[in-house]
Amino acid sequence: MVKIKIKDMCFGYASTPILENVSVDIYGSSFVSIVGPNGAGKSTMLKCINKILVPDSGDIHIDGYNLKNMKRMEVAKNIAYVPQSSNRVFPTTVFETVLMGRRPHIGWFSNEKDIEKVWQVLEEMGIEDIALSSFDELSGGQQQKILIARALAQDTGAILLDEPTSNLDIWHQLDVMENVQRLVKVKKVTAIMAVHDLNLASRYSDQILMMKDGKVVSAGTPAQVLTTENIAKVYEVEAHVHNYGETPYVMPLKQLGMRAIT
Amino acid sequence: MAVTFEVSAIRTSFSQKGDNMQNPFKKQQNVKSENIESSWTNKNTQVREGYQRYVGKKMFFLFSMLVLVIFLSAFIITIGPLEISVTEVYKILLSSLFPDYFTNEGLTSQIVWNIRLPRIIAGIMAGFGLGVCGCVMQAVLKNPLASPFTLGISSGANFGVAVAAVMGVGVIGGPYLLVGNAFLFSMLCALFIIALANFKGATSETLILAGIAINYLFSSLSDLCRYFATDEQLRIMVSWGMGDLSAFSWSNFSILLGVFVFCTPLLYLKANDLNIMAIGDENAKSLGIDTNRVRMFTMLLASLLIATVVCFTGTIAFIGLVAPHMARMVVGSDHKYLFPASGILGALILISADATGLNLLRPTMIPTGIMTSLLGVPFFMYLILKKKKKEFW
Repeated sequence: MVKIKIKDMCFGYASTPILENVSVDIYGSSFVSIVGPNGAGKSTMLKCINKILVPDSGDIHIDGYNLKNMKRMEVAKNIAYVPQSSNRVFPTTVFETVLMGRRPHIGWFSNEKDIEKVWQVLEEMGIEDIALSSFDELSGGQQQKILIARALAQDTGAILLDEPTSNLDIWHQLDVMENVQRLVKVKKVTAIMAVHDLNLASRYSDQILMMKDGKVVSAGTPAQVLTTENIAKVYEVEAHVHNYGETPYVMPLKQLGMRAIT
Repeated sequence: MAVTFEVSAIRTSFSQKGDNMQNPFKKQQNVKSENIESSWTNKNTQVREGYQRYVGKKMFFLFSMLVLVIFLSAFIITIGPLEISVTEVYKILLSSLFPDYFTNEGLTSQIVWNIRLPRIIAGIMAGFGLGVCGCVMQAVLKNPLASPFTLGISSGANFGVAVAAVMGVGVIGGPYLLVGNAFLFSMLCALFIIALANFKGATSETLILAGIAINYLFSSLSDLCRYFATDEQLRIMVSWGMGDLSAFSWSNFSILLGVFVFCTPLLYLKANDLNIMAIGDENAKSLGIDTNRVRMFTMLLASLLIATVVCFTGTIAFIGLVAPHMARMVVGSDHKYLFPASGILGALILISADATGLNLLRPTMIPTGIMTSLLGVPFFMYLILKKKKKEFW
């Protein structure tokens, strides 16, 4: 149940602004998707919330505490981050990878409780059979699952996911989304996900943020955000939006004009 | 019969969720929590036993390597260019511990106590130091090529010795002229690499490249000194550059031990963080690790340790690179086991290579650095070529 309040956040590399005056309120225990074209600042925003990157200006409040005043370890106790992929030079086993998620809670010794927690998470995700396999030898879907398991072991009130479905087949896409949804509904975790698939976002999230060029263009429920006009404005794509009840379904039709590839 | 039962159970569970079947796009507002809780109770004991065995195997390896080092040392001390019988060697060793019960005789006692024993202790400490430093550097720089040698630290020490030998210039005069210079220049190289590591945008590849460049720079500078050196100066430089444990004596012991006792436990305390550092900065930061601080801290300690080792023993390049890799093949990448395993394997390689060099062509002693590479390289090549399905770097 972590509430996240972002106010006037700006971030840029050297002179290139990536995020400009982003202000967002995220309610506790909600599933929020951030959508937008490549280079819109989705990943950057997630990294700022997790203090991997420090914003140039503006404030982020986590449950009322200013992120600036929190130590990295405190942030890690409250917010978990699932990277898109994790390249490693040296092989680690699945168990070791998930155990890393306990780091914010333990000192040098990983005691029985932490080991037990890891087993619990592995069982919950149904991956205890591969606990001793090497992370690098697994398929993309399994790797993604393990990175989510690591975030679960971190035992946080909020979880950030950076395009977790982009390299996965449709079975694994649904698997990831179901897992995250379960977290939100059952464990009351706040989930923020950067995602490219508008239909997955539409189907699973409570709120959608649509971004372009570092600014939030539209925010609200999937039905409010995923409109033909918004998609044309943000993606420069003509799309047909079909509604299944309250859930919009987007069918892209053709490109409108030429856009520089970023 | 059982199958039909299961199918009907699934059907009822679906029908409980109601209209989800008809409209998959409708949001699931109330996901049942019991499904998750119940799965926790069926613990997969087989996998857990496998994990316990895995941990046990690693502990066993560490322990047996340690025992091997002790036995090997006990054996090596009895062999040498001068024939001294086994019983006499142990009598001499015991005599210094219990002077009342054992007698202590002239020359042989001198050899065992002041030549053989310090040499073995130096070998163990230097090998251990090189092994753990290589292990730490590879983890924080996320690069399997990182080692005291590839980062230019050894070549810095080499140049320091050249300056001292040829020009007689050094920070500390007297008997520590060579050692002091070697230490100073290797620390300089290390600090340069650390500064570069904290420079924004410097990747681990940049650091390795910079280290190799520094290596060349200081090799050329050493060669320059060598070009102008007299025969006597040349001899000092050459023997130092080959890596030699014989320079070590009891008077240096306290310095080396002091640095060891200070650095090693502090580095080992960072074992968990080293694990996480090895998976990349972004991941590490998201897990609460202050990556720059950990990198700075561990690199400083490792450099201090390595500079101290190198200034007494000379260039023994191979162990820092290879011991961590060999250890990783057996115990995996968890630094709680990898760190001590790298150190113990380093010590094991160094003392066995040194003993071989000492006794192979009696009475000629082959310098330690040469022997380490001569024996270690074929063994290492064998290991990396035969590696089975597992990818180790």
